[in-house]
This record gives sequence, C-alpha cells and structure tokens, in this order.
Amino acid sequence: MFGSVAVSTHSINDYTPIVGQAAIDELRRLAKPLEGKRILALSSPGASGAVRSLLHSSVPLFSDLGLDAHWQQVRVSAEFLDMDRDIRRALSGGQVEWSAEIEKAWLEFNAANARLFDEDFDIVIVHHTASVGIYDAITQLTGKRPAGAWLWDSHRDYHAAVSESWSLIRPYADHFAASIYDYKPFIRADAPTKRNVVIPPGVDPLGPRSGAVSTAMKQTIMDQRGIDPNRPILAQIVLSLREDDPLRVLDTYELVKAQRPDVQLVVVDLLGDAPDNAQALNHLRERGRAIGDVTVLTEMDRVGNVELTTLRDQATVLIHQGMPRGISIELLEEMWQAKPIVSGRSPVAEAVLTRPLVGVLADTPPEQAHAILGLLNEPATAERIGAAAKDRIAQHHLITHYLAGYLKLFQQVLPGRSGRSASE
Amino acid sequence: MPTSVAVTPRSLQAYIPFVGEEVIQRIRDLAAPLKGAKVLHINATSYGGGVAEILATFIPLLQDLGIEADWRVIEASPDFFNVSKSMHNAMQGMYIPWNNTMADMWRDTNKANADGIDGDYDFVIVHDPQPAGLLHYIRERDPKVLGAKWIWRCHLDTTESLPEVWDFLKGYVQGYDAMIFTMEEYVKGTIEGPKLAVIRPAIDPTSTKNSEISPQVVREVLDRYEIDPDRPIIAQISRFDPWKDPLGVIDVYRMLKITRPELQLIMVASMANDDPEAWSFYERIVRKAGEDYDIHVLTNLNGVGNLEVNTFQSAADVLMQKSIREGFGLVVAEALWKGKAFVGSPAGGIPMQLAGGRAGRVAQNTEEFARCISELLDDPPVRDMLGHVGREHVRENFLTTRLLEDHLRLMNSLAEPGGYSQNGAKPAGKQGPKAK
Repeated sequence: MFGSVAVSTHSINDYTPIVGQAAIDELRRLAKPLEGKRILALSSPGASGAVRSLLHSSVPLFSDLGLDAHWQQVRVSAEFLDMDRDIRRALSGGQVEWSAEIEKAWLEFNAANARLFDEDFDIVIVHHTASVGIYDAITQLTGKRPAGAWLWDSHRDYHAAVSESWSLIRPYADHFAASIYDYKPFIRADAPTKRNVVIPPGVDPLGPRSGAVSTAMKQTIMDQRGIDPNRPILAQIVLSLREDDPLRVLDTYELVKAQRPDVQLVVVDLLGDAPDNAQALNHLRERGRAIGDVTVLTEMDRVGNVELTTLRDQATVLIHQGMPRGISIELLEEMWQAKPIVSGRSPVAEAVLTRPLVGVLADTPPEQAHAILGLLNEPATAERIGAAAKDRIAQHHLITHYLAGYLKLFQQVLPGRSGRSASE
Repeated sequence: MPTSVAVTPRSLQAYIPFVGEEVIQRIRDLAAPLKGAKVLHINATSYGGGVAEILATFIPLLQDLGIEADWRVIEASPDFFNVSKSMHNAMQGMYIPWNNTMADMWRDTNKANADGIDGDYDFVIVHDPQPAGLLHYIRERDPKVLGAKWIWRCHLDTTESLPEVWDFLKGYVQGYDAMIFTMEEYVKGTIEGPKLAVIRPAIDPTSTKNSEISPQVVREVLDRYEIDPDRPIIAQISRFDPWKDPLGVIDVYRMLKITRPELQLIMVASMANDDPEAWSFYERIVRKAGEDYDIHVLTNLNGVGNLEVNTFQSAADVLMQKSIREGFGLVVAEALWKGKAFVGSPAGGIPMQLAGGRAGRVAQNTEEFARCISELLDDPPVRDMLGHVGREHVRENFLTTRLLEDHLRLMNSLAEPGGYSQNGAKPAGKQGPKAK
C-alpha cells in the first residue's frame, strides 16, 4: 500500500457562516448519493504547497460529507528522483535534456508503484502527473483494469511542455475517465480523455493561511522583520521569482520609490537552494540594499503560513509577475484577503483578475509602477479593487466551490453511471 | 570560483536586552585587537542547512565589530554535491563505498575553487568537509602564501566517522592552524599540528524562532493549526528519522493518554521533498498516529515556519527530545530558551544542555519519559522552576554572543602581533592568499 498523509478533522458546518446554509445544503445534496464511496487522492512527496493545501482542506471535508476519503502518496525512491524532476520540468516547458533513460525510468517508476497498489477504490484522483502511467501499469501487472473511475488532475498548464514529455504521458492519461484542469486556458487542443473538466482551486477560509490577523500578530511580525507598519508596503510573495527576470520587481520598486520615498518592499521567495536561485537572491539583496527599504525573505528565514498571511495583510499593494503555469493558490488567497493586486499577464491572472475588474494587469516595470502609484495615491480605489477581489473569491473560488465541482464529477464518473460530459 | 554572499546588516546592540551591556562590552574588547582584520568564512551553500543559518547572523555581527568579514560559497557541480553528501553522511557514521572517483571529484572542485580565491585575508575559516581542501591547493599554487591563519570548523558529529573518509580528509585538514569541533568527543584520534578548540553551537535570541511571542499570538497560531490552547500539550520538534525516535514519542504519548484523555501531541519536522527515507519514515509515523487527531504531525511542507515552531515550543507544557542518537541537538537550547520544562534522553549534547538534570529531566526509556512528563504535567511550580533554570542556563552558555566570544578568543590566540589596520594591510612581512 502507499503511505498516508496526515490530515485533521474538519466539519463542513463550520463553513456555514461564510458561505451560507444554501451552499452547505447543496454540498450535502451532492454528497448524498456518494455516501460511503471510497475515494483516493493520490499525490507525491514532491507535491507543491498548493496541491498539499487543497488536499489538506478537501480530504477531511469529503469525509465529513460522508465519503470514505483517503489521501496517499506514491513512492518516489532515490533512483527515480531525477526522472520525477525532469518530467515535471519538461511538462512545464523547462529546459530538460530528454533521453530514452527518462522514459525507461518513468515506466519502471509506475510499474514499481503499481505493485504497491493493493486496495480497491470507487474513485482514484491522480494529482501527480508523472504517476498517470500507473493505471496501465496496474492493468499490465494484474491482467485487468483497476477497479473504479480514475481521474487525472493535471494542476499545471502544459501548453509549453517539451514535446517528448507530452507525447510520453498523453496516451496514458487518455485511459483516464476524465481530466481535470484548474483553469480553462490550461486545456490543450490535443487534451487526452473525452471528458475535460474545469475545477478551479478553492481557498479554504478556515485554513491556516486565511482569516483575520490580530493587531498583536501584526506587531510581532513587523517588529521581527524590521518593517514599518505605518508606511506603505509593496510585497511580492509568490514563492518563486520570475525565472527569466528575477529582478523585475526591483525595477518596478525603484520607479515607485522615486515618486514615493516612503514606500517599502517585501520580497518572499521560498524556492529553495537551487544555485541559480541563490545567485538571483544574492543580486536581489545587493540591489535592494542600494535602493533601500527592501526586505528579502528566503527559504532560510522559514516563513510559514502565519507570517505569509500577516505580510499579505500588511501590504498596501501586492505584486505578481504573471509567471504562473500552476495552481496559483497564493493569488487567490491574496484576493480573499481583499488586497489590491498588480500582476503581469498570464493565463491565470487573466482568468481571475479581469471581468469585472478585480486587479490590475501590468507587464513592464513602468506599467506596474504607474499602476502601483495610482493605487497608493488613491486608497479608495485600492480598497474597492480589494473588495471586488474578495467578492470574486467568495463567488467562485472557495474550497466549497472546489468540493462541489468534484462531487458533481464523482457522480458523473462513478462506475455504473452514464453521466454526460462535464466539459465547460 | 567561490561567490560572495550578501548578508543583512545586524547590530550587536540588539543583544543587550538578552545578555546585558557587560557581555557586549566584553565582546567589543575581544574584537578590538582584530579590528580591520580581513576574515573569510567559506562553506558549501548559502541557503538551507544549519551552517548557512549561523553564518547569516555571524558575518554581519563580525562586520558590526569592525572586522572585515566576508562570506563565500564554493562553486560546484551537482555531482560534487552528491559526493559531498555521501562524504557528510560517512563522516557521521554511515557506510558509503568511498572510491577514487569520489575523491577525485572532491579534489578537482577544491582545486578549481582554490584557483578562484582572491583578496588577501588575515583569517580564513573553512566550514565542514566540502571545501576543506582549499588550503592545500592554495599552498600548492604558491607555497609562500602562508600569511593567513586557517581554521577548519567541523560542525559534524564525527564520533563514528568512516575511517577511510576521515583518513582521506585528515591529510587535508592537518595543515590548518586550528580546528574547531562542537564537542570533545568529536575530536578524532590524534591530530598533530593544528590548535584544537571546542566551541559549542548557539541559538540567536533575536531570530523569529527564538523571539518572545505574546500569549495572544500563541493562541492565534494554535487556533490556525486546530490545536486547543486550553488542553495540555507535549511536543517534540525534530527530524523524522529513526535516531530521533518519533515512534517512541508516540508510545510515550499513548501511555500518558490513558489517564489524560485531554493530552495533545505536536510533532514538527523539516522535510525535504526529495528525501525518500524521510518520507518512508513519515508514513510510518502517520500510520502509527492513525485516527488520533490529537496527534499533530506537521512539517514545513504544510507551511510550518519559524514562527509556528516558536509558538508550538512556547505553547507546550512539556517539551521532549527522545533521541537514540544525537549530535549536539541545539533544539534543546531553543526549547529551554522558551522557559519550558524539558525531558531529554542521555544522547549526544542533550544532557550537557540540560545541565546534567538541573535544567530539565533526563530519561532513559519510554516508561521513564512517560513518568517524568506525567510528574511535570502535575506539578506546574516544578515546571516553572525548571523552565527558569533552563532559560538562564541557555543565556549563560548557548546564545550567539557566547559563540562570538569563543571565536574572537580563538582568533586572538592565533593573531599576529601588531594588529590589523583598517585598510586590511598585513602586519609586516605577512601575506595572505590573493588573486591569481
């Protein structure tokens, strides 16, 4: 069997004050026919914080709604670590020297995990793209298809995938009952499976990265980090720097600082200790010091959920560079915190920050600086945009919406049902 | 070539509230003869790991004292880091098949980095085995360049290091002017030549992990992690590996839980997502915890950061460290600094930090742990007393300021007479490593 991941207990009723009784009733109605069904969410030890956070919130809530929900992870033993990293990079369009060895290791990895799969589930959702081969590997191993409906939640935008990596996984993903995408623009024209479903990620309003932050907490964090809470704060807290232009945020900040000398910048990057990233952070620090009032927090500073939430809360304007190909749960969480956001264009930013206007899209440093100065100089506008952002999350992107999306899909794909396509 | 690491400035003044003006003045006096000295600290990485964490604080404090401190990290390929990881493990007792290819990779990387060291320094402090060959190759390049004092700082527990790896390394570190180990027991065999120093690690009282946080903030954080602040809490903050005995921690909790159904256990570890052994052990812990939701198994991968760790330590009624084998175990000092009652095993540096039992209880096995914790949970005045003694013990012995003092003393003992001018020029007739 696979290893389980620690979850706590959550009650769906706790969400009533936030989403209203009707939404909770609807979830119960959707869950009713699925009572007792065994559901497995399958991720990997390398899962991103966003995938973890979604599963950490949703798995206990599925259980509370009467499903028999489990979260387990595949084994990625030492010999498969490089393959796993290469496949992830290649699918996201990163530079990878593709080789037959990667493909061979990928097949072996899925065969090895197929041998660990010894339980039957009604529904299995694979949240780790490198594991989509497991369905065929089990079929090969046992001589029959594994029980239940198998779903692939891709989580990332694979439009820029290295062609060999996409060609490798696509035929295997095609055997799944449905593919799930976080945002509609992520669906490729040659997407596998006939059923393509969009289930946007949802913010957990009761999770450790949501909710109001007390004055005492604000004071603690601001004191510890030496940030002045009485002066405007710009913050880029996206857990990774733009790979092709890591210092762009400083170009923007320098332009703003020239007009508003009282402004401060906080950059949080927790990408880890990749040498390229270390060098970029080094430059960021040096140049930040030259400009002044820049706080750079890295992996070494061990910034956790509570501090992230507080830093966002204290920011006057939050900045994104528009690079995401992934879940971008951070962007949604910031919106839920009612913050005005200035973001570079990306499929995700364009999907969530426009129509109606809930943020400002700006790509170049002069455009971004112009937008930020506008927001700093017009607090009422900044507040209105922040409120609209929060409202958008309340309408479309809470964990309850995510649960509803999944419950509907479960009903459609459950063996024995001939559901209609849920394509959006 | 080694690359320079930018650090955030710090002031020694910030430590006055924790240690008093007298200690700060003592440090300034120790630093006075070294003012203007050019000091290079060199290690393998600027991110992640305890050494980088120490240097990020240490370097700006040296700068604040008027010492021209610089921090550089060696440049190396991923293959080198695989070799150095094996070397690191072997130095701490794990068997690895050490071979010539690995030795050559280590030598080539050290040689290439030695070629790139520029500037002339009065002191060069090399951390751990990865860059330990630099001195050898700089001397090989130019035997006359002997002006700087070279110190090798070994942060590892070398008690059971693999003989072939230690013997290999020994050939390169014997030429240093001094070596620093963390504990007397870590000094391997006979070392001829270098001056030997034992310097204990230390915690930084100004860091987010160790700053005092208000009870209101503690409640708020616990609430976010669904931990009940009104019920008793025990905790172990430690890696999930067999040496830290997390499964035994659950056994202790289960024994206590029989008569204390209100009890909660927090277990926090820092995990790397590319460490299959750690994950396999994590899964065993989760399996053992089962559906007892009063056991909170938390990691950095669910967003537990320094503030959270500080909070969990501050919130616990009793903290524990049930290690079967331990290095220095600095997490003990961190816990004692929070004024908490502590129960630890007699492994590695734990008993020393518990002042042999004065600053916390030492327990040998699961039953003893359960009994000690049970007694402490029932006796708040004793908890407070132990917490107070523990905090004072840390204040005296395990804060950054003491680490700084020890380093300055060692540097003074090696320093050339005549002092160091502000522009970094050497005392007459001396010359340090310089640019190629």
